Amino acid sequence: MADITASPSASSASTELMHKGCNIGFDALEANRALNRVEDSVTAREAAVPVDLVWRDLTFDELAPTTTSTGREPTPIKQGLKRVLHGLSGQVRTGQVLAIMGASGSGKTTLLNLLSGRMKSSTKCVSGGKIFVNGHSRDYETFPQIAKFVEQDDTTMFAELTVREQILFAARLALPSSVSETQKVARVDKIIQELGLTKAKDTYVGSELVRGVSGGERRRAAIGVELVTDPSLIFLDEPTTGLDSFNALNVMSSLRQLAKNGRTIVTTIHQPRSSIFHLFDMLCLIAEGRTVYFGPAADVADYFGNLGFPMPVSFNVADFAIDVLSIDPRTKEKEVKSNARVQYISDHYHESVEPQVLAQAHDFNESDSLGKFAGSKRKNSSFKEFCILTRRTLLLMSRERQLNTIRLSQTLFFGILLGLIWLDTGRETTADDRRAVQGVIFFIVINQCFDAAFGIIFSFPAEKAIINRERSSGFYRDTSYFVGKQLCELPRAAFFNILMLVLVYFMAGLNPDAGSFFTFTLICILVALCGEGLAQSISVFAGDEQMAAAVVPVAVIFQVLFGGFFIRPDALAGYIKWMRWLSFIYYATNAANQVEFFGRGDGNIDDIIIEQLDSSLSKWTNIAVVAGFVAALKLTYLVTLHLTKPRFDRNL
Amino acid sequence: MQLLTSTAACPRRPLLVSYFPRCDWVIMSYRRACGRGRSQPMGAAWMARERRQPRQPLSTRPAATRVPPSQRQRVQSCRRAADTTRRARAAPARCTRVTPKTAPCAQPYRTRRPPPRTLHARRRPAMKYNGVDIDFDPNAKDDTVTAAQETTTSRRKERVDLVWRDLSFSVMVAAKKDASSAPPAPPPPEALVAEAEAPLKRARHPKHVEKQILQSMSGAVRAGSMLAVMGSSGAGKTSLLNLLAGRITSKNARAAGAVFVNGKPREYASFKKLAAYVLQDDDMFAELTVKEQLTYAALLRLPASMPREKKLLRVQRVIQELGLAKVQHTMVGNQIVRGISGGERKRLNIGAELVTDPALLFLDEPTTGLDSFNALNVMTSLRQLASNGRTIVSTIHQPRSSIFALFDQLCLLSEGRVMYFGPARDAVPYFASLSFQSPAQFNPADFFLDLLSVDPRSKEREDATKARVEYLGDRFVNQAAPLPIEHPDHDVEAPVAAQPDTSAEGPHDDRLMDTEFQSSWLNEFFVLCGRSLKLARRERTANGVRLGQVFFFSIILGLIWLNNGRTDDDGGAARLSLGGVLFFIIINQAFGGVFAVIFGFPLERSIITRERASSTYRTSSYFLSKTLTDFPKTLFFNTLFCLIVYWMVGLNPTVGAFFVFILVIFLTSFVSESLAIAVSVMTGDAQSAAGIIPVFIILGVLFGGFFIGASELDGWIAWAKWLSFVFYAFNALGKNEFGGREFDNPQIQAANKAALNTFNDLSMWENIAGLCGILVIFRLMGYLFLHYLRGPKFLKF
Repeated sequence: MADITASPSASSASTELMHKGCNIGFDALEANRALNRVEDSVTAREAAVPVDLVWRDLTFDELAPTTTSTGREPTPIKQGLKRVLHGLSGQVRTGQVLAIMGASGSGKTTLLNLLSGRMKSSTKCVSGGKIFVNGHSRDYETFPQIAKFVEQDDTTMFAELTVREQILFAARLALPSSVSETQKVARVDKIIQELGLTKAKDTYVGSELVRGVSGGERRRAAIGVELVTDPSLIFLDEPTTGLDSFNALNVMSSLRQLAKNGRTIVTTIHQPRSSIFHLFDMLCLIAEGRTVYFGPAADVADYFGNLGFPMPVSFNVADFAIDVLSIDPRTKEKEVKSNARVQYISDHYHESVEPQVLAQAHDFNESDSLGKFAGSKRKNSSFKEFCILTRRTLLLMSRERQLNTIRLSQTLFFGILLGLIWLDTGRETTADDRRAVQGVIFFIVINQCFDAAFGIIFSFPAEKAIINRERSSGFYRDTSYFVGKQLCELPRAAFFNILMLVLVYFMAGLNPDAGSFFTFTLICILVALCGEGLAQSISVFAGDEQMAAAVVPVAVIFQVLFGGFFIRPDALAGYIKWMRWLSFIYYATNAANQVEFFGRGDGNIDDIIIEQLDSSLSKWTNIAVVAGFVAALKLTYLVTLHLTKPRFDRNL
Repeated sequence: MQLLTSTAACPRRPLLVSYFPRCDWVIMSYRRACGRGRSQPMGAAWMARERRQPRQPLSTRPAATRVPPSQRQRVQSCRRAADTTRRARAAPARCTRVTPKTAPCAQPYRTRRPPPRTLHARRRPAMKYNGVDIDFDPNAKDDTVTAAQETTTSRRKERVDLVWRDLSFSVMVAAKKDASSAPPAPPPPEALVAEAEAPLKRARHPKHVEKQILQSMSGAVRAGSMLAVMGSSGAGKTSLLNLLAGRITSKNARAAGAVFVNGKPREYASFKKLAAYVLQDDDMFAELTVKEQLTYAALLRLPASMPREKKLLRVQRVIQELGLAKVQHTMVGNQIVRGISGGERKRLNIGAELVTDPALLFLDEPTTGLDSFNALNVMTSLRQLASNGRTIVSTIHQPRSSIFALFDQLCLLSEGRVMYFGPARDAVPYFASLSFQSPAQFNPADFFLDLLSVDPRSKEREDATKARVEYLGDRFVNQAAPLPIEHPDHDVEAPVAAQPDTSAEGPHDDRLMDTEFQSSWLNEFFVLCGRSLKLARRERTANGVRLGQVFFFSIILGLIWLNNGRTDDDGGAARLSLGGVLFFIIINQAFGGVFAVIFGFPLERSIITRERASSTYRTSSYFLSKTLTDFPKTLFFNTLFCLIVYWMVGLNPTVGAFFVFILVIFLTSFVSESLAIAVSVMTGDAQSAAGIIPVFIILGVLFGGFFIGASELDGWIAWAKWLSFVFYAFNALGKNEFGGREFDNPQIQAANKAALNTFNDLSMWENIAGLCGILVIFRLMGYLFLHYLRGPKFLKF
């Protein structure tokens, strides 16, 4: 058993405290001490590319509604350009952990986004300034490969994958194919061990609905996913929020360890405990969009002391700094006072300290060692990406039990119900029954369309968040995701459609010819794919699920309206008649009717119905057009997917 | 300063964390009260006095001056102030006298306690910048806290002591399938807590294992003090809080033990009025402003006997006290609507519970997600509330030392067991006495968490930490003295607590009534109507989307069937095609109504569940006001739709027929909205609601009479059509259009007749009655589900 109390300290009294054969001694300082030892760990750099990051005069302006809080009724909506960051400068070098701190609303996250190149490009904001990586202006081809960003929101992982699978798939996608599979697995296992996830590695990541790992484990898993490429520069947004003190320290010590091994780490943080604060080398304090301190974290208390704000003897430095720098909005008086204080501190920094800080940057690493990353933006071939994504999608599909069961029971329910309602209708030869057959056909067609479309509205937003993260990290091409996903979904859609038709088709007694049955099935599958494509395109475009849920039904009902059942095409007035050509339901019903009525020489009733059908297009032409619709809609989906790819501001 | 420099030079030095930088006033008042002035550091004493000095004379205090005071009010508020001050002085004294009896581990370590640190607070000349005083004293922040002030929320009512004994709590969890994953022991900690909070979804799984979440917890918290429940995630903090607040929702859970309120076993009905619960993340209407939010809470939750002005005054004071004055007219906001900040939101959550002036306040992690400054602000407000005689129980994560110092009592949990329960300042010495020494300048909260967390990173560490936790748990149980149920000086206190109400108050119209609900049904109804209308007006995006849908479909439909109702030269084909437009309009309205509800309602539901959990209003008044305020909105969109379609298509051109048309369309929309509400209430989340509702609509459409004529259905399934609202609506519209028109052209007349024959045998009004019947049934189902199925049901034990 490792002796964990060997340190000569005040707590030596606790040595060899035994309980039931276990050494239960505890030394609160041990945790910190261990962190300062560079361990020969997994994440020790294999291919060390030291990265120094320097930024000068970063500014950021945002179009913001200026709320007038004086009126009784809230009347926002008056846009003005508001300066969020006022010319920030700083630098961080290899092996350092830089903490960006400030009260909420001071601009921490904005700065982090600018530094990491993850500021969403938008017409509503303007950024300015310079960022240098190893002395050269930032190159957006190589930068994403050396720098990784861990988002605050860690819900962008697949709930049904285990922690290990999550990291493993990330490794497969993000590492070049020159690294062998065994090496990848080895690296993943090392990362898991390093981040202390060994126990949780085979647990699902989980979500609100699926039970999974704890908050701390989830956060560490999110970090692990970004670590697989062994990045030289890691940005994190509030990695400890929501964790308890112990887990927070765990996460931060893992990061400290990573920095010791030659990485550069930049993180924002709220309420760090002192043991966490002491893990930081550099500290950047921001208040009201201005730098008020930039320098060694250990010196900040002295700095404020010299300014005339001495820190009480035993006070957490981080808390003290935030207290000094917060604008207290509780009373007018306090607000004026705290505003003036922040103004004073930031003016002082700007006038007398900043020049010295800036001067320190000259001895920074300026080698162009990043050159080797040039041109290797994609790690894998399209086909490789496709294979990995297919594998992942299949794994996920097999685990989505709830979704599959719901869909299965829905299909069985409707299949049997429709079959019972129209039981043997197709086998009768009276005029009414023959007409009723048209009802069956139309209903089956629109049911398949609705099913597919509504299924997408609700499953898609979660997936979109994940693929947006992965695409931001440059894991794969849009096309390989698209093709992989579509090919995987195809058999599932086909299965449910066939099941539905096996029930309805034969219960209702439609054209008993084998060829007719298969043609009918084909039509239904195509319609379902159309519905999917339509819903997917709209969902991607609409952004949030609420909007999608409002627009998708409109689009689907529009298709149904011109489907030829509610109003016969020949009854449509000329100026609106053309719109039926936009409805895939129209082609599908037409084709399905032809399958049913053309194939059966049952006499003149069919002939009357056939006369009413639009026979200008043959059965196969109709099917071809529906297939064309599938292709067009799916292509639209791919294009919208590509267009809505997270795009980042590349000004800097 | 020297210390700081040395730290800078040697990074391995222990950290500069304070050991109670702000608790000097607690200690002071405690010492003074019990008359043991031993080892008092002069500086601290001086500071404590200093803070007491600058209090204003009573008559000029903001609380009293805010309203132009009538003579009577001023007298009252002065009396009240005097009373609270007196009581607040008495409060710490009471705590201390009790401490020796309740403190689980009494004397041995207390003598070893180091004297509190003198604070670094030398007086400097005030600093000025641009003519403004910018001085900053990190310790002076709590000036509001040091003395009980005359505030809104100062207590005039009963004080509550809460004692609990042997609480235990367990839930049924699905057994893991693969026994291969060696020790089934510690589950993912977060999941454990989640388990306690949510009803188990996998109840149908065959194999269940009972999982102990809390084991025999005992403790007590007195009026005027603040208890912190701490522990690593999964230790059972939230479960304990829920048990104490009587808010365990889990169905598969078992709880045992007893909770005593002022010495008597807890009665749920009266307890509800004493206690308020602030959840970790409360949902709020994004489109209401801070002030509106509080005003509605006040209007609904304060007794009917209290005059409206007084309620509004109280809202104003709560705003003042929680520092929300600046944002009072800002909307709360959400991800889409820009609103108030996280700290303000959290304070608003607390404020919404404070309007009733509860004696007992439970909070779940009030500081998570806030920055250090805001966290301290929130906790300082709470400390103030406690100083005014409330009892506060809060769970907390990562408190900074200044926050930790605000707590009187501390309950440390790990693995579902109590590791320590007692005065917060005695915890460090207690663990030191067990030879777990906290380093000199370490945040005690962090030290406890480090000490008590199970480290899962390797097998060895896990075993060691588990053994440690087990050891500490055993030690604590062994030396804990049984707690007295009765507060020792409860009898002495009780009359004091009862008196002011009768003497100082005059007409105590602001006392909460004994009935479950404070307002009359009518009042609730009007207030809720007002709120719903305000919300309906402000939901701009949703309204815009709906308006767009209305225009799009009405114009498209109008164009397709343009003048079809008026044509008389095509042998009746156009007349026969009208069935299509009628049916389509119904489908369109049905789907439109449904999707408007599916997404908006789940949020509203979670808000009303919370409000009902604290008995804010009756389900019936909510539901009726909701029904009534939905009415005009739906009617507006439907009328607009009908105006466009009806005249474009050229349907039956009599005024009566037009209004019947609007009526039927409106009823159809309303039925589908009701259906959506009923299903949403039943399922709980938007996703499953959205999966189920279309199935119902499609079934309705299927039996509606257009896809398959009602007469063609086989007898054994034909009855299903009577359940379809689409069926009634379609037939009513058909009768309205075809039944009321005569044509000169015999062909058209024949077609009209033929079309009419496809509809059912009921008259138009009978069909409308059928539709109304279904509407009533769906609404009633929605109400019943909401009231019985999804009501706030808590496990009683």
